[in-house]
Amino acid sequence: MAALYNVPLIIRGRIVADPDVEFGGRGGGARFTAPDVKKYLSDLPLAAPSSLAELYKLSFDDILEYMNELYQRMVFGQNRHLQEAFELARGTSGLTEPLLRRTYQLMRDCFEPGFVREFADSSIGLPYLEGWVSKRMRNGAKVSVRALGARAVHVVAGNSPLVSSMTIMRNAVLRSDAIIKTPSNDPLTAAACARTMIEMAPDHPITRHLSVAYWKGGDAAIEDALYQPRNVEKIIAWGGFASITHIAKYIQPGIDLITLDPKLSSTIIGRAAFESEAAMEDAARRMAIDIGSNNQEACLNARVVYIETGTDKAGLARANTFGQKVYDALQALPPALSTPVNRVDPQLAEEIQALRVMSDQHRIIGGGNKGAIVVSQTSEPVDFARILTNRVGNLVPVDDLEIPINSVTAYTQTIGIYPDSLKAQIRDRLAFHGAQRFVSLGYAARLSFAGPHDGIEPLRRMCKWIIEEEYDEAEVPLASKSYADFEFA
Amino acid sequence: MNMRPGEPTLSTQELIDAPERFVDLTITQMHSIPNDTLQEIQLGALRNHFRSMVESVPVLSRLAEDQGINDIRDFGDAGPLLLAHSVYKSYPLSVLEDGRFDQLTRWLDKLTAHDLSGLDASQVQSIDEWIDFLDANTPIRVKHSSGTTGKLSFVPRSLSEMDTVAKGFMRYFQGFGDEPDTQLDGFKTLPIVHAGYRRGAMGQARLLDAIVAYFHNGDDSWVTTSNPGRLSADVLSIGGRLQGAEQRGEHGKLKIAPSLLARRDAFIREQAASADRTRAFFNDISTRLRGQRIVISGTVPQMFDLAEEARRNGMTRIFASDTLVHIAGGSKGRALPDDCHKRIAEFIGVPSYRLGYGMTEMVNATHRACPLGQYHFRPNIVPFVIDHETGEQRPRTGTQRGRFGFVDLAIKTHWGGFLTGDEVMLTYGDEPCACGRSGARVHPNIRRYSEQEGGDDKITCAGAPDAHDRALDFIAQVTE
Repeated sequence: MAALYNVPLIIRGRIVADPDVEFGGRGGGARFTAPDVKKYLSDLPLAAPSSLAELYKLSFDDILEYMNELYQRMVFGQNRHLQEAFELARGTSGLTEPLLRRTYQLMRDCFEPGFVREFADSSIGLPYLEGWVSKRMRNGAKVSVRALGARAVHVVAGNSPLVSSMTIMRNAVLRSDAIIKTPSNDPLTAAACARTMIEMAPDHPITRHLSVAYWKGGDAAIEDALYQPRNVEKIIAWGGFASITHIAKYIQPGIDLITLDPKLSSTIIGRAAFESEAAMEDAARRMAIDIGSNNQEACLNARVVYIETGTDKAGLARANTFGQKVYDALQALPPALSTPVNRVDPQLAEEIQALRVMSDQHRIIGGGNKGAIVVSQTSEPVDFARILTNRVGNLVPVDDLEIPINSVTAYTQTIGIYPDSLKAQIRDRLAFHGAQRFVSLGYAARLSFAGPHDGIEPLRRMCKWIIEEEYDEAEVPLASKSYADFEFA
Repeated sequence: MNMRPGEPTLSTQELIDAPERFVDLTITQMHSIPNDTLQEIQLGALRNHFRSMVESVPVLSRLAEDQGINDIRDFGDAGPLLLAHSVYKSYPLSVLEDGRFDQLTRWLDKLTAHDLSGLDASQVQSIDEWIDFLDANTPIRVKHSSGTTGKLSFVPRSLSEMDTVAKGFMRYFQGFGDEPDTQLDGFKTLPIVHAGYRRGAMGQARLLDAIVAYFHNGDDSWVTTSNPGRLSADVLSIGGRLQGAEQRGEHGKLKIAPSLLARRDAFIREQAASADRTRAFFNDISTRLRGQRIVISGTVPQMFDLAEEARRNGMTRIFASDTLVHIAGGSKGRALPDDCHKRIAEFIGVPSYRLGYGMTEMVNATHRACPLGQYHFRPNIVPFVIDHETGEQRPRTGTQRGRFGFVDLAIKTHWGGFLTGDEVMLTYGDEPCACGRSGARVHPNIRRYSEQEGGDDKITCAGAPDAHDRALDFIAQVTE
């Protein structure tokens, strides 16, 4: 019997560890206890928004200094809170142990001061975070703008523990007050970071503006009370169709909902990849990384792959050869990047089995927990493309790029493209159809994190943008004066 | 076999050779077969069924080859041969969108023992037409599901199973041993009222076809339905695709076949007549059939809607108190009040009724709960319990929880091995149930795995009329 973990409730530096309620991890995995959040509902929101002011006594360098200290303390081998989160995640996460281990080892990097500075500067602009940025407008106003922190609830995703650590870093940079609602497939990572911060600097304003709670998503007794304009200004929600639809009902004037909703990613490989053996090898090696990274748990992983091999006999032969190469490359990925999975999604396994026994139009390479490549023998993706995971890619041969371009929708996030020269040719059309990120093949999982995401700029939206306008009456007369001579016919 | 004196019986060998004849036995007879004998019959019949199907049903030969299974030595050999729901809808959706019914026919050919290779469906333009085409030119009587995101599953039932369908339906109402309804007399003399569509190729309409053919020599006047029209497979498919497209933000990409648009006006007229039709139906059954003993059937939501409509019209206890009630369990995703069964019973005029469980892939899609609330399958069903995570079979003894699978030995023209999406608690027939029935039984707490894993986008058969209506609205908006 696996250990029973406790997921503490953290309210601005205070740790509540009562084992009031027991929860089961997803997929029959680990179980954990947590305090009953309902008992602490009046403490959870930031009562006085003005207390955000204490964050403004800090300079950006003070924030970086804090981040640096946290970076030092987030060394996986030396941080028992992270180790505990890792142990629990082994029983709840969709990631296998080697992938989880690597993720926890890399987690500290998001607090590294150099990265934090670049992140803040490129996603908002340091001057806007540090103070008022002024300029003169044509109407005579001196306008000053500043990005101010907000009171936010972050409903984070659990497919990667990095979502939790990134959220904590973002909150510090934006000088905001965050309540992180953790997911059942990663219930402990955010709390582990928070506990590290409490040990490090219990009274620091950054520590005192982070709360972490687990409750079962959709629990109306909690959410009805919490998601009110008097408590929060922003809800940042990651998640599936059902959970976003659910949260959307809390939208009302005074609450801004920022959704990072479910997305899928695809790939377009142009004919250049099939003109030489070397190019095909290169594309296959890159393709395997985009499919296999973190075992295809993320929205940015490749799923449907359009290949411009042609669809005549020779074209299909090229497609099938390429499929085998991608499958072989997938098996050769290092275990810290991708591994055979622990649990094959039963629905996906059934769909693949159905094609195996019924379809003349699909070739299936591999299968089981090692992943698979399904090569369509027509220009059609499989109908179950939406549920591709566990390192299963669907290669779709096409004669030209019209089909892949037209298949893009608002739900398309990343498109990996090969060769790079093709990107510039088709990126506008892909974007008009809804795609949000184009990346060199093989780099889909290497997010820069600092730019737009899902077609929006979530960091900019997480701030409140405040404007001050100053007029000098000597230059811009008062309206009573300037309109006094207006005559109406 | 433990038969009562004077009752007709069948030998072990006769049942091994023709397990579809189980329904010729009374419920008391079929559920008095000792477990050892039942196992012997089922294993023998399963082996025969496999041997005849593996030669003639391509999907089974492919699967058996994949799994390295050449013969059925024990029940466990059939476990890896259960086909999941996905197999019955494993054609590409574009086949429906683009009207490639020749391709769909070739696909169906792999599921059935009938040879469809000589059939030319290239002129067929819609799913409804395709179903009619098969009805007219083959012994196949396709049954379809309500469809997940627009893909209907097609089960190639055929004429050779239809008599079993009808007889099994009658057995639904029969009690066991000393239970009050053990004597089932005059079934052929009872009018049949059904909440739902009369025509179409979903389970209920096909069931009515079988009953009318077997018991009433094709005389449809014995049947009254709340909608005498057809539940269109095309409209259902669009309903499902519509829902899927909405969820994926692809609303604008939905393709509607021109042949279906041509039927648009007829659909709209049909829909507009809906309220009048319901009123006429009530007037009819509450006058012509008032106080009579009838057979009434429907799903829980369908029956509940009827009951509410009746109540608004001030009608309760419409039929005789010994009316035969056939209601399949489950609210099918709809939230119904706690006392819905009480209200339905009040509307019909019976003190209470017991629910049924089963699935459209079985020849007899429903099995009525015993007085202790357990579902006893007719002995032509060989049950399996599969671990949902690992796919391993659970031991065939005691009580097991897991995913329910079965081989239906009453199926003659396709491989009746099926893996459902239901999580059940199943007790094997080591000992008879406390009600006296022998054989395996399923406990009443049945759940769908898809619901447990968060969200179920399946439009179930009770959702079908809803999906049908939504799709009609959509078709009505599409300009030609």
